[in-house]
Amino acid sequence: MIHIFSHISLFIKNNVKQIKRKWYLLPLLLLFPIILIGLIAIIFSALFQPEKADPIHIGLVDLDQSKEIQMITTALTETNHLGSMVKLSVLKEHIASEQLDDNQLSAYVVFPKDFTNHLYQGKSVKLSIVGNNQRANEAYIVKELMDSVTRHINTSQANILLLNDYADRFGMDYGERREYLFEQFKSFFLFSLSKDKLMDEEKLVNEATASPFHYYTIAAWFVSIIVWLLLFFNFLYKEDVVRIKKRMMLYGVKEWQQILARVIVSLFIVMIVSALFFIGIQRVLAFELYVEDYFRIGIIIFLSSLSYLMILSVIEVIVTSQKLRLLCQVIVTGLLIVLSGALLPVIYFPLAFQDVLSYVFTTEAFYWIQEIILNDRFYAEYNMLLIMNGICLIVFIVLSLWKERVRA
Amino acid sequence: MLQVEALHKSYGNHVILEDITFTLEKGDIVGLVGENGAGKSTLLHILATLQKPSKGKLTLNGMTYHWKSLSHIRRQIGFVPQEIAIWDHLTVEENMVFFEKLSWKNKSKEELQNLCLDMKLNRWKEPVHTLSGGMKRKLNLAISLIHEPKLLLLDEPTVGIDLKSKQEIASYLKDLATKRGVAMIYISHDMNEIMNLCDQVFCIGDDSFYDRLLTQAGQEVIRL
Amino acid sequence: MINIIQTRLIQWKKHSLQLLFWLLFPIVVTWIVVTVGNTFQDDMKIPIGIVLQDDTILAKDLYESIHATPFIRTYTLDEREALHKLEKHELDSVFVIQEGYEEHIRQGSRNALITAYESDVSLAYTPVSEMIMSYVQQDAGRSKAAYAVKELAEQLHVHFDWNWDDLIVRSKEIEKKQDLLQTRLTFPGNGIVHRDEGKNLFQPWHIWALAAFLSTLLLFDWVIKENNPAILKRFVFTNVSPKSYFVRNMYVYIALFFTIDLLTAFAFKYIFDEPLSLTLIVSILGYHLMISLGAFLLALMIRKTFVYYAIAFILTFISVIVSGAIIPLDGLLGRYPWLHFLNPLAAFLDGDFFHIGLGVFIVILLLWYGRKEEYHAAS
Repeated sequence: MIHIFSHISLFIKNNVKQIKRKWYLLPLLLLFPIILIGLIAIIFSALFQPEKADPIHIGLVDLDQSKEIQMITTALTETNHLGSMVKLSVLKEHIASEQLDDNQLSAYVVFPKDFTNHLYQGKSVKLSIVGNNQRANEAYIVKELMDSVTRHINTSQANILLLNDYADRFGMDYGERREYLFEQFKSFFLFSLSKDKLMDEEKLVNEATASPFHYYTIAAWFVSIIVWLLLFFNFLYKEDVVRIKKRMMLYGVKEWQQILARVIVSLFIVMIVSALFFIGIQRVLAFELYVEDYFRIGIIIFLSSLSYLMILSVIEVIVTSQKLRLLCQVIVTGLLIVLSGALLPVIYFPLAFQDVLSYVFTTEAFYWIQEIILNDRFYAEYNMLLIMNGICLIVFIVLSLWKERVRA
Repeated sequence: MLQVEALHKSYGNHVILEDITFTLEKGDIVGLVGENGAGKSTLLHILATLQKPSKGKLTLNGMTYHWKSLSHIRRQIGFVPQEIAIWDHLTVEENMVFFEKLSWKNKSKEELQNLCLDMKLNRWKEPVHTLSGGMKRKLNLAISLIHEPKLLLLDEPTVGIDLKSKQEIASYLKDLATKRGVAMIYISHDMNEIMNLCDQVFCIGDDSFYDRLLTQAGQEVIRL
Repeated sequence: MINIIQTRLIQWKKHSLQLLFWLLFPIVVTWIVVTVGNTFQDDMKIPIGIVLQDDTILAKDLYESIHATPFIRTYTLDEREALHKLEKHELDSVFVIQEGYEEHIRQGSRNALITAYESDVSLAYTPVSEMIMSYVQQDAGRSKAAYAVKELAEQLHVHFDWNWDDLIVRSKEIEKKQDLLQTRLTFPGNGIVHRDEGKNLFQPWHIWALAAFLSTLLLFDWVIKENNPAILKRFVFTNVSPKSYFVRNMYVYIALFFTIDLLTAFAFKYIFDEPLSLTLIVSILGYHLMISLGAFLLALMIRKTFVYYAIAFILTFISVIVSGAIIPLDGLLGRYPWLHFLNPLAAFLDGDFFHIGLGVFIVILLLWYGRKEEYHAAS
């Protein structure tokens, strides 16, 4: 027993030496997740910013040339019904096509010939939208927009057809009816555009801390911890030459003792670094926490990190090929991060997934961290994390012993 | 066959080899001794065209060492490196076939197997990492002989192996020299081996330890 | 060259399973990711709370319509509970169908029929509220039409037995019969990225490119394993110099990749119905050539396989992000066009053969090959 501890402590010292020797890699390891998350954040903000700075340009091509379409296009171009993020202009088809090629338009919509007539007669019509390859996302937004417009038109059309039907039945002649329908068309169109009144919209802001910014900062911190653990655990990995392995065996050193030493060192370093990072976040975001809260968060991070490292260790014991091992570790890490809800809140997950989530320790850990930091809970549940740790530890020990025996 | 005239090698101000001149004839086996760092390996590497001399002229079978004629010269040279330079994960057969494919000479599998059997290497189908040190050394030598070199340069080819394997290798090399007229330069720290195998012994370096040792034992030593 | 292939076969025989695994890795990963992604997308629902304060048929119909929407999961709750859950972010948004909903519609009044609550982390509020509004709008529109018929009858002095409910039914019938207006989105030209709407959450070729990036890097570990100084000395006394041994083996690997790539292109045509074209094949080859050269050069610089693997994974991870697989890059590319050069997948996804990286790697390779080391290089 004493031997085991002395071996492990020896390896810990070794690991620390290794870190000291390669100190120049430390900033890289520490910054890596932060840089990646920063990169994601930049891309994210760029994704949403152009809507404000740079409206989506849409061309309208009117091949129908009816009063109705002219009315629609004027209404759409002159007023701002669709908000400031969209800019519409009426164009000839070839010009629209040129501007699309020049990347000036995100998409253009073509109202085909006889569009209105077909609508009145109840014939099928297709609105085609030609998108810009270079701005595919914006083109999809346009498509969504037009879908919502057509949904309104569809209802309006049914109503217009109803009116046409009754006007006919009431003995109105064609010319009069046509005029009447146009009036109604206008009226229904304006009616559609003013739909905003239907809904009384209210925004709930529960606490000052509940903004998406807070949520994602905590999430970034949580993901960073996991990535750091992965990086440090593998940074400390050393390929032993066969000669050295033999010598180790002679000294009675076991593979699992080396792994455990790496677990301890990685855990220790990442706990310190994440604590520092957390203090930094707290300075900036200023959420109110009590001393007990720090303890609770510390325990949660400690337990979930330990479980995670044990899983990495189990993979290392099972998978001998370095390539495959890294692949397995990366996949498991990816799943744990995705399922934790740090990227997309778990409420949006499919129900089938949500049932499994109660068994995923990162989900559990991230949930309680949110509860404590964002929802001011004074309580946290550790049972699941403790059980997970127990299971991982037992699996690790059993596998290691089994492997030693097979080798011997 | 091999003429070395006024060979110099230095790295900057550090002189390693100075004014080395000797000739080697067909079937000669020459031992090369000297303490660590005396320049034995450097000399062997220069003769093997792996390094350039700073000054001096080298000729092998009438061809002068020059970068244009290197590939012709290399065809005639067999080099046995000090390290065991074989694929550890392949079998003896696969190693032999591997290097045969890249070699200048085409050989059948049978010929390759016979080459191994000649030096009592009989584990044809076994992966190299399961072989003993002696077997690995034999394979290390066998691979260097695939293209039937005229000049064989051996850098401590038997280091760390048992006496029996050493003797098997030595008797094979002697055969090679007498029957096929292969000339050899043989680096070793084992004086018994040197005296048993070599016709002449060259000594390089400032220290005269090996000189005295071999002279006392009745072996003629030429200082280079 | 035939000799090189023979020696390569000897090496491959030893790790044939591993080789096969990594060669098929891109296809398998693509299939798994696309399948799982689609299941996830199909089953991904936005949780919203509905508070039904009006007990009428029209209100219930509205609730049914919302409930039947595929991307929504509804929870019927009372207002207090719903708002509490919204505060805790257990719901995306809450919609209250106000008391008197039908009454107001019948009277043609449209103000504040629904009260909508969103929180500041409601990710999907806009599309959901749009959708609900369009349902309400349908109800309101029909009612408006019913009144228009009444007005018309009065205007024309026609005697007509006006009944609101009958006209609503009639309007619904017409609409059901004639859901006529459709939209269709097309793109001019033929880049590879044709995201057929709603077909796949992830584009197969994009995922393939990333998986191939990783597997190619990992497969080039032979360069490190065979970069053994002692053995390389032997090559000097063979027909093949160390450098040409590496370069020719690289050709063998690239040829192997190309073969698998062609099979992949056919497989994707059948599995994902991805169009097969010459442009596609040319851009696949250009892309795979580039990453192979890059992997080769990287492996030449590194001594330890584990370090190389770690770098391979990190590079892949960065590529996943900068290629826009998770988050689309459209906005960013417009502003910083040079990002295009940093994204190894850029040329491939645009359906082009040449990426600037390919040029850079070829130049480095030539420089490396041309550099003489004492006697070594000549052969």
